[in-house]
Amino acid sequence: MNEDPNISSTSMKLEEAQEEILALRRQLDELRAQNQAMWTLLAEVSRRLQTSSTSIKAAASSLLEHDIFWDGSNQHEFLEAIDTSVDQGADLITLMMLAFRSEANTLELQLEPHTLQEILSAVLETVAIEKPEFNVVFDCPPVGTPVLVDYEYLAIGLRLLLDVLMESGMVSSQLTLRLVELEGSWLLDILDTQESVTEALNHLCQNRFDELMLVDHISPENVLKFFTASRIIQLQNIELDVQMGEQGETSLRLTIPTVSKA
Amino acid sequence: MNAAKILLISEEPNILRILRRNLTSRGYDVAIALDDQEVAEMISSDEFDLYILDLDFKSAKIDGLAICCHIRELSYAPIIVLSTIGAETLKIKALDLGADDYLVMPFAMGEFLARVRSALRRWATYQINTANKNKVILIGDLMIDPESRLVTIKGSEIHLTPIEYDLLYYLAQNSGKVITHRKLLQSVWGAEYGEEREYLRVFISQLRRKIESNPLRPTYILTEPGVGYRFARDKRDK
Repeated sequence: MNEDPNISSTSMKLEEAQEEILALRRQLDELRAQNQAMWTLLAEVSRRLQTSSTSIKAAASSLLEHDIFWDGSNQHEFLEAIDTSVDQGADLITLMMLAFRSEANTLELQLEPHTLQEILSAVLETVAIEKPEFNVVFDCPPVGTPVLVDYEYLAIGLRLLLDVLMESGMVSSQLTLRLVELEGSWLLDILDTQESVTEALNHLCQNRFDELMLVDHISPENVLKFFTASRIIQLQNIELDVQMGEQGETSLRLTIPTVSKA
Repeated sequence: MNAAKILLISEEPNILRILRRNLTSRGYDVAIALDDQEVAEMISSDEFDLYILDLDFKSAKIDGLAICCHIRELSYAPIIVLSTIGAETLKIKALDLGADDYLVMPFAMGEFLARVRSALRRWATYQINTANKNKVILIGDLMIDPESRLVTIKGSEIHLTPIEYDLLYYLAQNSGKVITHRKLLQSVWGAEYGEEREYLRVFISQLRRKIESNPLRPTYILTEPGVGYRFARDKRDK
């Protein structure tokens, strides 16, 4: 006996609708998990801020205690603790402001033609001063097509990205940056990265900040840096992904469109 | 007197530095543990009078609550927990796992130091009580060794029933003090007792027969008429 075509069509539509509902539920669950991960990150960052304020309060109240005389060297030690704690807190607040502004798309980017070599050289100069324990090799052609980027924000984004890689053990003490021009874009490969960079980048792309902290053991500050760096870079139409080499080596790749393509 | 030994456990160098400076300047002997390995080594190899634990300690292997639990397994010394989180549930958890005090960050140094003094006072009292509890009592010719529950008079062992021993030991521990009938009954027989004075008459009489050279003129267990009993501080105390 043949099935009624109307019944068959309705049944198919019902199945499709059920599948759609299931897909929407999965999306909703994913969004909920991402939302929770964001709050987890914010809670951790707040805890760091509270730790800084604890140091400041403890040091200041020590100086105000009357039962003891603090000599010059002790006073200096307390003041130094206040000084570094204020810096830590302020750095974190600056980073949060940058992260929220990039997420809210309120960063005022001045996209203008610049040469990548110039921006990267400036970034690496700072890295060499602040992280002398790392040997950074920059391999690039002397000239090439300019890119349409915001000089300052790209430099900030790259700096943050290198900071995270160096501070969270995703690179060893040797780090190579290789810049290659293709038709319409530049490839910036950050070589000598560890395998952990793949997993961390996956978690970052999925906004799983909780996984970055719990599984990849990246500190809340570095998660926030990673997140901010990726948003700032992506706001300038730059793609960020992980490349696997033939020998199993990993590298972090930034694909930066040149002026003509951008 | 030796300085109290304090172990500070935190991953925050600035906090450690400030707390250590404050404590050492006030005469405490301070050690610090900054990471997993140091924590494990310090708490198992040395004895401290006080542990100050930053509950936000979060390394890959162990967290603050687990450290708190681990310390309590090894030591009765007080633990002051410091935390950026003031949530009641976390406070309860930490206290249930063995913490003695919970201080929410940020805090003023004066309050922190007061809590340190308070914890060390409690620890000193606990240690004195524990030491007294196991101390051999020697009064006149009487010797009581609580560890072996051995009682001797002029070196000869006296056989006592458990109740007789408990009664004698309680009185001797509080020698020189008048112990009321109610207090004695409650301390030896239990909280629900208090009116059973005849118990005391029977057991005190038995004890006197065993330890006094003349039970009719006792020199150890003295009667305080209408009130209770007093154990002589020494034999001249009658």
